[in-house]
Amino acid sequence: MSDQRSMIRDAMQAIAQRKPGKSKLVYDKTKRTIVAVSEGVPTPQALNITADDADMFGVVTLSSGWLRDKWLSLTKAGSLPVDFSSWDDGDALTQLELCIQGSGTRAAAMLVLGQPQGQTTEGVVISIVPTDKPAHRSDVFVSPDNIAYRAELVEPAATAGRQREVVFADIEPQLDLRRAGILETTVLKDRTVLCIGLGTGGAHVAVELAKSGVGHFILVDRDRLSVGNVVRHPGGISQVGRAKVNVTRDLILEKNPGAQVEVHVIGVGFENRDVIAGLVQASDLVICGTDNRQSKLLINELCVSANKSAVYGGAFRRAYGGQILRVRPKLSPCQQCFVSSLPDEASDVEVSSQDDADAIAYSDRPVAVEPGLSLDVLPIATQLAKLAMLELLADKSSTLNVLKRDFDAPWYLWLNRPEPGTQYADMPPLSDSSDEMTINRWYGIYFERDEQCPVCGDFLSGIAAAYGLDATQLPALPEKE
Amino acid sequence: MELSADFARYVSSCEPDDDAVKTAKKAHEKVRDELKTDEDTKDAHEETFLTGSYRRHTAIHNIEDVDVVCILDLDIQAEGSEPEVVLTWLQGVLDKYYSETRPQGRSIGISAKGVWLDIVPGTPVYQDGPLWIPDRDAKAWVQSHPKGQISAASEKNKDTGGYYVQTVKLMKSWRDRLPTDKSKPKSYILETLVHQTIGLPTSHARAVVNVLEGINSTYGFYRGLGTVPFIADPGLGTVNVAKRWESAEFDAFLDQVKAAASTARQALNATDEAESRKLWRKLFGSTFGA
Ligand SMILES: [Zn+2]
Repeated sequence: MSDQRSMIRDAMQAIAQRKPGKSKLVYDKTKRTIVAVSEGVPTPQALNITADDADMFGVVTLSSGWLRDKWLSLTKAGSLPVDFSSWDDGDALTQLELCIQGSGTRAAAMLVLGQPQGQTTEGVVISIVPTDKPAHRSDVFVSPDNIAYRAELVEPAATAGRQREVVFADIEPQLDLRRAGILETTVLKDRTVLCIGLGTGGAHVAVELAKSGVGHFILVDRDRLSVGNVVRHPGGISQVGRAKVNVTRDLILEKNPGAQVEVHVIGVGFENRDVIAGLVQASDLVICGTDNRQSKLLINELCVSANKSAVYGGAFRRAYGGQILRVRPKLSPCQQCFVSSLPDEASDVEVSSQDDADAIAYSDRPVAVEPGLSLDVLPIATQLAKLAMLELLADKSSTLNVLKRDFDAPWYLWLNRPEPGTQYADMPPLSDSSDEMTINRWYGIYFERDEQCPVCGDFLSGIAAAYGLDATQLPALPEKE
Repeated sequence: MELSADFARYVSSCEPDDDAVKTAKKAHEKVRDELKTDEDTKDAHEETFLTGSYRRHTAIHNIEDVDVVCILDLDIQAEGSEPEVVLTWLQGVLDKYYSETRPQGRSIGISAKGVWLDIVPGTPVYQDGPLWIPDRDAKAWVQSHPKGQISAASEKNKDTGGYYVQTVKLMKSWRDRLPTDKSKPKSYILETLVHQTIGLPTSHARAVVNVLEGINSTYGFYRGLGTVPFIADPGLGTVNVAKRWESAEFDAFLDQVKAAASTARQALNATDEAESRKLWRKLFGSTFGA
């Protein structure tokens, strides 16, 4: 490997300086790549395995990264135990190292270098033998000493009868392949997203960002998944009782096994102010999916003073629609500016848990937990995730940045159905409207920052102006941290 | 006034001369043949084709360079297929035939008897689709769709009754006369802007007005914001042709567009022939209508 690298470098230098070198760059047809060769030295094998969408029926999938790591032990001992998840809907065997949840039935197997000796009594035996097949195929593994191997399944007599293919998976490159050319995955891998509130919306946003290649997550939620959550939340019935942060972490890792996920089972309130402030500081972007206004305002204050962008999303009651607010400190209106311009009542906020219902009843009247379909919440989560991506990709080149022109409003409104009793009850049908508000649409709405906003503006001079005072004579506000 | 005869004569004076065309043809045919038959490239070679303004018939005056895409059978994920390695390998091959080869960001430049050729290696993303093109600076393979660019240009030319190609030439000629280098966009950016704004003109004069006013109204908003908008490649919408355009350069260009749009509108609206010609000359120089 390193030998081939340095030979390539030598050859490149020789070409750049137009002087003959020890090595020469040549095209290798079997590997479809450029290799460096020098006289008398055999061409080393390129170390690359890509799987395509081959027929995956009945295949056995082994992690090539794992096998490369274990190669020395395997060559020394001659055999190595390996565990699989076994799925009976196609007899697929997936190596446990590739399964975050480790579901399916556990199946033990033995990797054997060369043909297995003697009688195989129980379990699956996978024999690894040298091959002439080209190295880039998914059923070929190239060992650290550059020899190509294929693997062959020796099943116990009872289950045998059909040839199964053993493929090797290089997880990261294969995951990245479908994003290449659309997203700067290298940028997203380095980005840290703080997700506060992992209900249906928050958890979906987190999983979408994981699929897009975001590499670091900090998850905050105090709740556990309940049976009532399951119809909307991406977490399923087998996860009931677990902390939502842990459920979401596992969903993230299923999609992006390389991600780093930090979890905190805490609520957002003044008692946790310092902890949350520290997490905000450690992140590049904050995604707020909490339902209650108080926690949003606290998060807003922490984000503005730490100069971190934040995206707030939520559904209206019964999820007849929803809204997203994106706050870029000092550049766009903040959550406080937004709330100040709204009446202080809870009627248009979807409340999805009893705790939130209790917390949100400013008027001392009981607030009901509002039902809403996952189908109605998902469009909000997807839009939120897209806005989050644009924030994460700010100033970076990406195909997604074409959306910047379309998504430049601070506030987005989504209307999902003409809910009776709301101002949208009489919206025209989607089919015959041209420029009126209709269902199934997003509306970008522009509104101004409050220059005298107590969080993001100059509060003192606002007060001074209102009362006809000289601002310089007023006592200073306590320093914000 | 539309001064159709003046415009027609001016456009034809912008055409590359026959000798330049002949030399360019000889040069690209030679290198394409070399790539096809050379011992080091023949296994990798799948096809070569011409691209760039020369291929899209939007070149003016001297043909400054001719772009040749060489499609290779490459696994870009494989070790050894890094953009820099592939470009250097290609340079090594071309060194055998040309005394002047130059590594460039996405191609190898070669000087062949007065014609500069850019040899761009590429490998298809999918059959007949965009190509992966090596980007030395980004150390990555990036997508580009030269064949999409060619067909986008030829369709636009058909849709506009032939005004597209000629308007690109007019706009390039206008650009070349701008007072500062900073304000002169790269040819392909300009071509893309013409593509976006030309509309369905009925004369050269209207096409020029459409383009200048169109650029001003579409992109004027971004002037002074310190950011350059995403300008989608007509050949492949996910590619931003303005990716390397500095915001100071963008602003300087938009300043010129704003002034030129107003001049062009006055020239078109002018009812006096001499007055109109005088105004068009402000954009295209004293040879216009001479
Ligand atoms: Zn504010």
